[in-house]
Amino acid sequence: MGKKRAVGADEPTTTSPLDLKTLIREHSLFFDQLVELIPARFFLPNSSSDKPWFPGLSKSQKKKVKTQTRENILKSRRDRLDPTRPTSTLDLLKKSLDEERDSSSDEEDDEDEAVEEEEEEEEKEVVKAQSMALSTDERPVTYEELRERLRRRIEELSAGRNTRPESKLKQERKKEMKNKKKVKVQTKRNQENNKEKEDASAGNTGKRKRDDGNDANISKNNKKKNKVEEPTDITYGQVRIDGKENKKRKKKLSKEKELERAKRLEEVKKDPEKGKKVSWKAAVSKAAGEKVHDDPKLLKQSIKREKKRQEKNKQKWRERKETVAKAKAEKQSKRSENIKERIHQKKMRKIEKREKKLMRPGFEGRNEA
Amino acid sequence: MARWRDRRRQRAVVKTQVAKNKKQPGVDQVTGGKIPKSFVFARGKLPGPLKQLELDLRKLMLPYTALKLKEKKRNNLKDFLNVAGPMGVTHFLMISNPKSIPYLRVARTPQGPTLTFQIKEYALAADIAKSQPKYRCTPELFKNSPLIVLSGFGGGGQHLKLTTIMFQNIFPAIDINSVKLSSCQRIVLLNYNAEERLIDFRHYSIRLQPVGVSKRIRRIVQTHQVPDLRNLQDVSEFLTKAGYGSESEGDDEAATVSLPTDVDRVNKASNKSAVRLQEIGPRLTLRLVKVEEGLCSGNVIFDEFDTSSVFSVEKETDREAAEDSEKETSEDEPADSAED
Repeated sequence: MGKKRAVGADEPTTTSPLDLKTLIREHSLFFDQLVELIPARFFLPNSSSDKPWFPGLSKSQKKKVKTQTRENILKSRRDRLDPTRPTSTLDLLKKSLDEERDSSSDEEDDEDEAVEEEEEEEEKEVVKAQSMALSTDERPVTYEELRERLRRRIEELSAGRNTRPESKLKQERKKEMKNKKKVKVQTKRNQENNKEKEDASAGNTGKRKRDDGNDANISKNNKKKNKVEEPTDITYGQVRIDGKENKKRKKKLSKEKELERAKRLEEVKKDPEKGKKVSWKAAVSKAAGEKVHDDPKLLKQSIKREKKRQEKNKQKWRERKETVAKAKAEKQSKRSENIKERIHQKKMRKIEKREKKLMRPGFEGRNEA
Repeated sequence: MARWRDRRRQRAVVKTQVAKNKKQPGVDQVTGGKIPKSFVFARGKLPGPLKQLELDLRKLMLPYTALKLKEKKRNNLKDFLNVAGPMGVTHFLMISNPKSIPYLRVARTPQGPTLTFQIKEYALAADIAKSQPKYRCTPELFKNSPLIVLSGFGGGGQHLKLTTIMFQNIFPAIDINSVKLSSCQRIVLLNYNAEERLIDFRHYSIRLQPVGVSKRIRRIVQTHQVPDLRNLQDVSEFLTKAGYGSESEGDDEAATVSLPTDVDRVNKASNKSAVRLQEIGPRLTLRLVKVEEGLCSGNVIFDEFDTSSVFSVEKETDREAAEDSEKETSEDEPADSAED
């Protein structure tokens, strides 16, 4: 209240009292709106006695206080969302001022009170009207309304979501166009082919008739083919399924036989018709990874290589045998020599022994009589 | 003090770790078949974008390819063949640019057929990356070889059959019963356009997304990040908020599969998941021009620009001699010396 009075006091004195009042009113409204913007807990003076002091309490006291604060929080939340009890800053301010005034009622006169109250009420109404006008769009009024809005929004969006009925039609149309084009091209080609084939035989008119007949059939067939072939015309990479492994085990012919076969194939290749078949078959199996022996040159080379290898192996074997035999013979001879030596030595030793007795000093030898 | 000095010296000594030679398996443990390996290299001098294409193709063929293959000018095809034997390399992919027309040759090493494709159009992986707002390409994608799907090749013609078999055998076989779904992360699509006789080559990465789960919940489960509930009054709002689903949410039924096993945290067994493909890697438009019986040699059994596809052998040798003499004058030298 003091504020408003101060504002009024600052006005210039040249204006008439009526204008002054309106000016004051406008200014007060403006300030009210400003006050509205500030949340209550920042604007109003905080009574320090309300603040709970936790640390100095005992356990039971703390519990009580905590439950109290929880309830307070819930209460304030409910109050905040309760549409019937608007707790805007301005109202709280007014409340607090009323309380002050009640507590210090002896200071002020009754007249002033009445006047102030009237003014307050008027301004309250005006302010309320203005604020309502401003914020009806933003503030939610009831829960039911909110739910309704949500439902409407969901419906809107799901209706707007297109599961592509139109685009499917488009695709079908495109396919039809393609088919038509294909049919046209095919029929043209068929026409040409037919003309080439039947050039010599039929006359022109006859040909044309036949062509028309053919065309109709061909177009039908093509349409059918196109429709059926498109989805099934897909091949995938190599896929192994168990159970189909190694059903065909080709017999391995000897190299000479293969060589003969290759030579024969070469002869066949010279023949245009069969040669085509053979070459394609060979190319396809080569591309698939199977070894195809159809080049006589390479086969000859490999035969030669094998022969050389065999020769070499033979030679190696011979050498081995020789060395083994040699070593054996050596060892045998050495052994027999050693044995002979031993026997000889034995004999010599025996003779020595015998002769030792007769090697006395002064003995001249045995009397060989 | 002496001890302290020694310690310093010890720290200064670089520990040479013996690099473990991680040998790539030659035989697939699961299927028992030989794993096909490939070399991707260039024949002759290539301009910048084609060199980049070569690197992209190498990346595509990972892991069973030599990523850092170094080729020198003096290397012949024979050199590559000599190395390929002991290493178990089965396919060669060669890019060349004779007369400023890019060609891609796919050949099977020992004696195999060679398919020559003319590259009509190509787009590099870098271009595709720039054209997409969310390009996702991690090195983990390249730890497993891609799947391959061919479409439109059933139309008859031996050359198409050969092409399918060739491409099917470039990538290792998969055993349906025991393959891990989480290891199938890339796919190569080849589409044959019968009217124009062109083959479209595309390379995608596969991503599985569970169907029927809102984006927010999925995101929480996948990345364990706490969501921002700042602007919401209640948790139920978070769950029921009708946000914009991704544009392809209303997908065809054909693109959803029910998984047989768990793939990862989000995609569980016997739940429906949508298969999302995102393009990575190069884009090619190829035309099959020539099929030769040998490795860049031998009979030409298919020729795009000639009505009679197969020649007899005698004629063939004459023609080849004529071709060789032509090639000597026009093509680059290294390619030439290899074909001799």
